[in-house]
Parts: sequence; C-alpha cells; structure tokens
Amino acid sequence: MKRLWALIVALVVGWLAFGAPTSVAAEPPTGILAYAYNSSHAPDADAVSHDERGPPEASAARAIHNAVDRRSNGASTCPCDLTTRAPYDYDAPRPHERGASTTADTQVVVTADLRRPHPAGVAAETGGAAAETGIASALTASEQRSVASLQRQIAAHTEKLEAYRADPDAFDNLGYLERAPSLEIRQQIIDGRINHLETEIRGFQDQIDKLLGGG
Amino acid sequence: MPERIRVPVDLLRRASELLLNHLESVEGDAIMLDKDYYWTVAQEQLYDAYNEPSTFTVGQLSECLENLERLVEDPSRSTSFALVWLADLMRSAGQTVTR
Repeated sequence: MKRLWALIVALVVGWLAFGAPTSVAAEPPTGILAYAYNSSHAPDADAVSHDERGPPEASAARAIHNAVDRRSNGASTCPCDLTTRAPYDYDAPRPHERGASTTADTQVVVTADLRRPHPAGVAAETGGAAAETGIASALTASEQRSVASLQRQIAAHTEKLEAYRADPDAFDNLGYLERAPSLEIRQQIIDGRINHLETEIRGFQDQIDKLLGGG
Repeated sequence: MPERIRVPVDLLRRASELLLNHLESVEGDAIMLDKDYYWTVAQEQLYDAYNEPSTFTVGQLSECLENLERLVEDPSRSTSFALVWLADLMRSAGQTVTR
C-alpha cells in the first residue's frame, strides 16, 4: 500500500515539475505582443516596441524624447539636456521689488526701482532725472499702494496704447472711424486718441514722481 | 478771496448718491450713450482761463467705462485719476438724460 502511495505521489510531482509548463509554453501566442508608438512624425519613436505592456524601457526614452525635440523646434524635453541649462535663467527685473521695510511701522523704504514700472513706452520718457540718481524715498503704506496702483495703470495703459496703435479700428466701438467724413479727420481722431493715452500715462508717471519726491 | 476752493468729500458723496438715485429713477439701471469720442483739453491748459487752449486730445467714453469696470473688479487699482474717467461718464450721462 505504501509503495502504491509513493508511486502516485511521484507521478504527480513529476507531472507538475515537467509536464504542465511544457504544455503551456508550447501553445501558440495569442493576443498583442508588441506595442509601438506609431506616429508618422517620429520615426525614431516608431522603432520603440515592446513585447510587454507598460512604460517604455529606459533605453527607449532617449529615442522618444529626441523625436519630440524635432517637433518642438528645438525646445528640448530630453532629460539629458537639463544638465546643460542653468536651473534659474529668468533674469528680468522684478517690477514691484521693494526695499527693506521697517518693522510694524507704516514707513517703508522704496527704492528708485518703483520709478520704472514699465521699461518701454512713454513712461520711460517721463521718469525724471531723479530715477537715475537712485535716490530712495520713504513712503507711507498708503503712498506705496498708490505708487503700485499707478504703476499697474501705466502698464495697462501702455499695453492699450500699443494695441490701439496696431489696430485703431478694433477700438472703434460705435463706428465713428469707419464713418469719418475723410481720411484726414479719421487720422485726426486716431492721433487724438494716441495723444490722450500718452498724456494719461505721463500723468500717472508725474504722480509717481511726486509721490517719490522727484516731481 | 481764498486761494483754494474747499470741497468736502462728504458733500461729493451725498451729491453723487442723490443724483445717481435720481438718474436711476429716470432711466432705470443703465443709460444708453450714443456718443463715444470726445475732446479733452490738456490739463495744464484746462484751468488757464487767461489763455485759449490749443492742445486737445480725444477721449473715449467706452474706454472710461472699461477702466471703471476693471477698477470695480479690482479695487486695489484705485487711483484718484479714476475720478476723471468717472466724471467724463457722469458728464455724458448728465448731458444725455434730459430730466
């Protein structure tokens, strides 16, 4: 009886060890075995294929990034390029940069940076000589808010002025330019609008100069 | 003769409220302006009654309205100059509405 049981156990173990895997592996493959990026714009990426689902292999990442690079006109997304770039390369001046403030007092020290909220446009012509001297002025919190508001107004007006110069008709809300009796009168209105915006910008800058004590 | 005219802010506030209430009772919640561009005199000449003004620019009521809309959306943009835009619109409303 013991021999019979031992024989049965040996047969089962032998079948599990050799018979079952052989029969499974011998079956023909079914389903999708390869997954490819089949974009017509990225032949390199097309070459990347896998016989397993999931993310591409590490070696395939470069090919994919390179393909993306070509479509982004040189704006590389490849991680390998990051080593050649400065981590912080934005060096534009901060328009609202302020000087050191005092403690709980309302007095704050504002540097002459406040005089140049917008580097281009009419405002640049009206800053006054004091800006170049770099003289700092002491302003109350209320005055500082006013300066900030005026700076934003200059920026908004300068933007509007540029837009108006580019396309006056876009701002002709009631069609007066379109119905102008002559080209000369039409141009007179346009010039008057440009002068008006320039005057307002100069007015804002004058107010800033006065607040900063340079006006 | 005083060198300056004293204008109490509270008077302006009360007069504005009174007149805007009147406007609303006459015209409802909005007025319709059929003008847009208007002449303005340069500030340095505007109050110089001894000399005839020679420098003019062209303002635009729709732009004043836009400026005030942006101001109301973001009160931190407040500047005293915004009163000029408000005044330009107020004047036009006062000239348009006849009661």
